[in-house]
Amino acid sequence: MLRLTLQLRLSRGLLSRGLRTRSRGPFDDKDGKWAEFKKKLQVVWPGGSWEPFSNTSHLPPEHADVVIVGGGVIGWSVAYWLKRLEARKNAIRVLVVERDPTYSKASTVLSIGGIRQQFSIPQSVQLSLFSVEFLRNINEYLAVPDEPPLDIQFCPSGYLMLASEGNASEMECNVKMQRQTGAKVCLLSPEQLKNKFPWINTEDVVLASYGLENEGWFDPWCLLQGLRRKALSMGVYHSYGEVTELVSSVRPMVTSRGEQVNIKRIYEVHVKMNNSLEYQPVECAIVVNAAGAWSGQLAELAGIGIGPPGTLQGTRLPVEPRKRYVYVWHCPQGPGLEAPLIIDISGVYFRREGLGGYYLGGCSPMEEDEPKTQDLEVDHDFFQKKIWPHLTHRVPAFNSLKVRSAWAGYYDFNTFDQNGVVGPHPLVSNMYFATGFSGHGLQHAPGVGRAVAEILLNGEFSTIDLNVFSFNRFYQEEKVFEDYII
Amino acid sequence: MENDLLRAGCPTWWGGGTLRTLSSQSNFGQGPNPSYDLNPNPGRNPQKGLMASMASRFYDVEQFREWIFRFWSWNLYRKNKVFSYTLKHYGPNTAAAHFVLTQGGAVRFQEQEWLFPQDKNQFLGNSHHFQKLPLEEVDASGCLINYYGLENLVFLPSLRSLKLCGCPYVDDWCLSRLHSLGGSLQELSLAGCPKVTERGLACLHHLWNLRRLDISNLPAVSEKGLTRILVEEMLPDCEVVGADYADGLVPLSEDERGVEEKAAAAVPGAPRGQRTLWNREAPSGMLPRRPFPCLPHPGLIDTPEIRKLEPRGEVIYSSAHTWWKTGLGWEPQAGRGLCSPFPLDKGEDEWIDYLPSPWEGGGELGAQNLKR
Repeated sequence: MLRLTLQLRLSRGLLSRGLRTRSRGPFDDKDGKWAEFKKKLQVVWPGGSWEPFSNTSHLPPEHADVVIVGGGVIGWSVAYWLKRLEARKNAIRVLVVERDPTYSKASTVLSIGGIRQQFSIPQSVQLSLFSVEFLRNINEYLAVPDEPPLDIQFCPSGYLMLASEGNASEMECNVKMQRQTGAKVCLLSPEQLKNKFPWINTEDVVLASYGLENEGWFDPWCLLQGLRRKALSMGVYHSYGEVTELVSSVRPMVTSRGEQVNIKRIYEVHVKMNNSLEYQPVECAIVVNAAGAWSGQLAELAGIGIGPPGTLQGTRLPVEPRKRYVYVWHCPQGPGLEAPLIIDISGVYFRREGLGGYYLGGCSPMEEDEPKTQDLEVDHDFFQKKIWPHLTHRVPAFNSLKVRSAWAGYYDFNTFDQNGVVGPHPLVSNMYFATGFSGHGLQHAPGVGRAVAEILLNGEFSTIDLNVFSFNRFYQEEKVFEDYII
Repeated sequence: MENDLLRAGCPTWWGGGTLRTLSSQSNFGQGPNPSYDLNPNPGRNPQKGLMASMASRFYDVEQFREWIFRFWSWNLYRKNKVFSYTLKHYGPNTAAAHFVLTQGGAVRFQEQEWLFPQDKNQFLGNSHHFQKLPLEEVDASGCLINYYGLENLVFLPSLRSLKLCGCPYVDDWCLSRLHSLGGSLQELSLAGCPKVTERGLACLHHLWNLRRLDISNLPAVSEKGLTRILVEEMLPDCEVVGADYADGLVPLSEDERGVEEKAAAAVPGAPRGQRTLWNREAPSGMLPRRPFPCLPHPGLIDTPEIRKLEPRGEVIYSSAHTWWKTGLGWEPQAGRGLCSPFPLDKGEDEWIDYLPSPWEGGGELGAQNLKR
């Protein structure tokens, strides 16, 4: 380079300069780049303002084995079970990424905390039974040395589901299946129901199923904090940030039938810090999608669902947020201490809250009345029009009640069949799902966490077989429909 | 769990002369190259050396604690196993009796005398005699029964009385299991169980034959008076003893009470809520602080022997205190291993400061009452 410029200079020197302005030779700074460089050099020089080694302790690590996107109860449950079932200590580095440290919109903390075994799919019943066993011995699973024991405040009052003419036979079959799987559920006729709970109006009730044991409600925040505390004590990394990009490599492969498919592998997750443009690319081996109501958006980032409809590439993850309201009312003459969580034929549910005559409940609206999901504002008219009439019809004491407060939360609603998605994606080889539970994710969380940890570490489900909830059913159009979604 | 065993780490001698333990992975109390420090602290006072060595083995001590905790937990489960062999060969009644006697409780078969733990061998010898008899009363007070151990008890077809006084591991989950005894259970006592809360009491409504329920001295129940009222509403045929209606209420000062009464008097026919009852009946300001407002016989566990004794007094409501007093004699040999801490002629008021706490194990007297 120097030789060239010397040659140039020498050659130019022989010719005349002409009318050009005076040049400074090889460092002719016509476009100002030299001035810029000098400025940068001044900053870099010792005494300047550039610090080459900045503090990155707020950023997630640069490499992680498993990145769990979503810090709700499912995400932390997967993290806990991964650490619990790993082959040796510190074998895997797990990172949990959560967007909102205040959990202001998370479904976990806004849920009413119910747990039941009355489902229509045996695997759901098994998941619930496993979770109840986990909750019963929570202080043995989640004990951290020198930390106080957890009190999840479980209230074992049971669930009472009412059925009309149309669903009575289904309910009977389901209860039989539940009892065979191990749930302690019994069927009640309207007379028995009236005997047990005299404050119920059994007008159009043909059959009722009542959970005798292992059903009730508990404190979801306590479970979340317990899982989080134990997972952190076992060495799980956590980061408060948003996943903005999933960088993947594509490998074209040919199926046995000769079709070409592109198998993707996510090798980097970009975690952007809150209130900042700063992001950290985390190199990862596996990504777990536990993002709850926003799992669909995360799946799109990975390229799931981008393709012609009807093909595997074009099958998107059908999980979207749906807003649900919960109202708290006071009724001094209402049902007493024995009241279970009652789910009416119309879909309206309520339970007792505390000892002061407070109740909380809600209802899932019809498809056409689904509220907008951009915020969590509560619509009080919904209670007046859609919930109160059914409440009064079922429990006449609720004629005089006063709504004290209300809140709204999101369901991670699976629009396909309202059941969870657990397992890997067929094309994006290292993305695993644990989402889409449509309102009963909390009660399945310990079981789902264990199942995902097993399939990550061992390649198959050992405790409960959740192959029925795999992603493939969306492509194969096989609905695994859950009857009892409230 | 295997990880933890590996984690414990055997002392490795590869690094040099000194004994390396887990905590030597941290540089606490050692130089930067521990393997080269042949004798880091020569000539130290042996007493100080113990503390320093324990402090430098922090993770080992923590691991040791975890082992002890795990052993204790395993032992508890071992004591609460289901007696399936006895169940299979001799039926649920004998299995339950065997279980309770092993745990240290007492049982009574139909038309038989009480069997105590010291009679266990005699009972096992005569098991064919007891096999056909239904088990009617179980007194498992102070036993270490937990949720899993209750498996032995909940399938008894004709159990009439169950006493779980002072059982440290009986909690709400256990109470939810009692629904299968609904057909026969007439008496249940949960006095002094530290883990039972009002949520567990809510699932006692399955016991529709229950005639007597003792919920005295449940420290985990937050609103004792309110809970008692709600439990009484839930079980209308049952006599609920133990909790005072006024529990959990903050006494009003003089002028506040005056305002309340005026407001109540101003509305004619307004229901005098049960919650304001005590306002009118306690004449003086603060109710005295009693360590056991609810126990009918402080320091004495209610056993069938005690109940067989004739009550020689009556329940007295004094205007100054709501104070229960029964005149049962304090026979020292009555019941199982009881000795009364109170001489017969002590006056009412002097009992207030003298009551030990059998449930919290304060004093040997309390411990004696609990130990079997």
